[in-house]
Amino acid sequence: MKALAGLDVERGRTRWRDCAPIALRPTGPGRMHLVQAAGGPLGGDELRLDVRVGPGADLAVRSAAATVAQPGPGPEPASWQLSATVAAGADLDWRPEPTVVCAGADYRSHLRVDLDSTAWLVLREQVLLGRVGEPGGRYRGRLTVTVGGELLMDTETVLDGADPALSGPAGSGGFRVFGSLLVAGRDLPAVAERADRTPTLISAVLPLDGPGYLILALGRTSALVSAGLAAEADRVTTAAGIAARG
Amino acid sequence: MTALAVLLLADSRLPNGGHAHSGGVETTVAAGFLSTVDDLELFLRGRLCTTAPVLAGFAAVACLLDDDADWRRWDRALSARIPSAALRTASRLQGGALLRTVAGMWPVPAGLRQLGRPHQPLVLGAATSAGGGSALDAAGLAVHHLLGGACSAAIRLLGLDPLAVAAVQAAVGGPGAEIARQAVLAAEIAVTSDDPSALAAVSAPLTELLAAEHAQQEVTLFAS
Amino acid sequence: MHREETQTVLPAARPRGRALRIGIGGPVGGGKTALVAALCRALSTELSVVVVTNDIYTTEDADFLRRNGVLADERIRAVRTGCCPHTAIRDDITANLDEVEELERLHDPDLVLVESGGDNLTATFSYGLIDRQIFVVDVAGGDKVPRKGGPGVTRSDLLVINKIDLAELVGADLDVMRNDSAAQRGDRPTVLISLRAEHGVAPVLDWVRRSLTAHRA
Ligand SMILES: Nc1nc2c(ncn2[C@@H]2O[C@H](COP(=O)(O)OP(=O)(O)OP(=O)(O)O)[C@@H](O)[C@H]2O)c(=O)[nH]1
Ligand SMILES: [Mg+2]
Repeated sequence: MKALAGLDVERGRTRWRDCAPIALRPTGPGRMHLVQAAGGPLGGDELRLDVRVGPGADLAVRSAAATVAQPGPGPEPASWQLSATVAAGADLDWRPEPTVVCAGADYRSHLRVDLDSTAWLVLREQVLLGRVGEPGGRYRGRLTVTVGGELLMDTETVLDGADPALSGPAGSGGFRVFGSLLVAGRDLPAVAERADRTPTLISAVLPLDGPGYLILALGRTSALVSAGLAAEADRVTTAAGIAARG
Repeated sequence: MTALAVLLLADSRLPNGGHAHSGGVETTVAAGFLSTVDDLELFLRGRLCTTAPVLAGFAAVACLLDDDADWRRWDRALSARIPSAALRTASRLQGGALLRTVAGMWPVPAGLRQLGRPHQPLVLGAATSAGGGSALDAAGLAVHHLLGGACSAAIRLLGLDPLAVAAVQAAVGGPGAEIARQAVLAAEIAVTSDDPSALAAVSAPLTELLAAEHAQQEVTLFAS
Repeated sequence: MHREETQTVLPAARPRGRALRIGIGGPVGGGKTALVAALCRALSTELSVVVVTNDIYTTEDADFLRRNGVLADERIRAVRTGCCPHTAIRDDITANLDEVEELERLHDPDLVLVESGGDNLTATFSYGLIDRQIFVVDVAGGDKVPRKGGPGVTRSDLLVINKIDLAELVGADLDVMRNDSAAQRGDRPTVLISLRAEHGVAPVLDWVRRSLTAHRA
């Protein structure tokens, strides 16, 4: 299945174009929910969403349920592309539910966000390797972000629950759940690199080479990873608050 | 002479700043993810499908670029692929160290020197070109140093049998050479289209996380 | 590569800088850090001094100097050596050069002290990194040490035999050490000191002052 959906937000009005299986539902002012047909995407699907956030507009995107990537009839991967531009003074808050990559599935996502130098972005992703009790398939997620035309971040996370090298000591370290939270654009606090580790969760705040920071987490469960990302994000804001007051 | 120049760049006796960097091994050991020769092999194989294509791609690009290329742009493109500030610093320290050495050996592009401490793969690639080597040599050198640095750190930190480690390094050499070949193809596209996005961008989550942890340790033997 | 560029003038040997760089090497526990501290204490009021330490455990030496209040934090840098202290001062000096040059740029010092991590008798500094080197051994290692030789004992610019206050306790014969050193070192100077004693550092201090004068001449 191939689909190209669109979402265009200006201050005070939102227009969108659904394309099965991608559907969008307004759930509040400047807020949309992404609804995908259950049980997908499948290998061979090529889904794409183009987003434009106009000058000074705010857009928050959530999703109704986890995306569950499944193997398709052939060897082709399931692919998901997001291409977003965020104009001057605009905000994009992109925090969908996790993606579950089932055993045997091959899922690729490429999220590309081009920010004006006065725009702001928060983008969260979470990947679960397999449903409970299965090793999980292969995930390749590239995230490309530019700010004011300068490349800020261009990384590809490769996970594979069935590949001992990729789930080993130079991969995901045996953890089933990966999460990331990127904050980029205007008015960012100064961020110092830091990390925390317990037997069930590792998380870190990584200041990028430019206006942005990335919070990463690997953990045993989705709940741990969500909490880990949130805790690190809180620490950044608290530290910035203390610095601002001090 | 070309072969000798490339071997010189492969030699850990060349002052390149590498001896003080463990390529993530120290922190991976400290966190309990690596303790045996088998773990080391998995670690190397993990590196081969994550970091290696990136480093090899940029080394190959640097070997192919003209002297008057926009070196800063390629340097930034590599920075964008390394989320951890500690890892970027490690790459720049080693790039600066190698640049210091090769600038006295061969002519190095002025645009690269102006960066002060460029990322290590760019210096390695430019040095390979200056020494008369090919893009495949440059990519191979990047993979070689990635593997070799990790192996030597593992031997020093864990007391692993160096003969067993040598066997492991040889065993992953085949896949490593293939990574280098792929990296050259990507680099040729990137240089021809003048677009870094054709280059691999893989980063392994555990590597980034543990690099950040390493940088905040009071006591470490290796700089990264 | 363009033809013209192949005619780039290669850097000759390290040009002599304004600051005198002194390397301080020697086996573990001989008193290198104690010597650095004593030199800093004696000299830092009259001279601008900076220190690079290569101790295995990064911040330990630096902390010692800070605790003793002999040098401000920003005048001390630590280099990590990847379990190979001798490599960092001899075979691949790039990390040390980075730190030394950075300190020279920031503080325009008269004197740079580079303390090596404790290593064995064969570990000496490259003259690409430093101008002069002091090798510190102690009497507790036994009075045979100077006789063993090795480049540290035979070729260093100053040999310091430290902890002579312990000589009797450990049964070390200072005359043997003095004579063996002279035999190994020819004209090169050796001093026997105790950094525990008041003004124990004086002979080294004299040598450093003379070296400074010579360096500036
Ligand atoms: N008795 C006595 N102890 C000394 C003397 N000089 C130093 N020490 C002690 O010897 C110990 C080691 O001295 P350091 O200065 O740390 O030796 P070091 O050579 O820097 O050691 P590493 O850096 O670990 O190789 C410390 O406990 C010092 O207080 C001395 O002249 N006499
Ligand atoms: Mg010491």
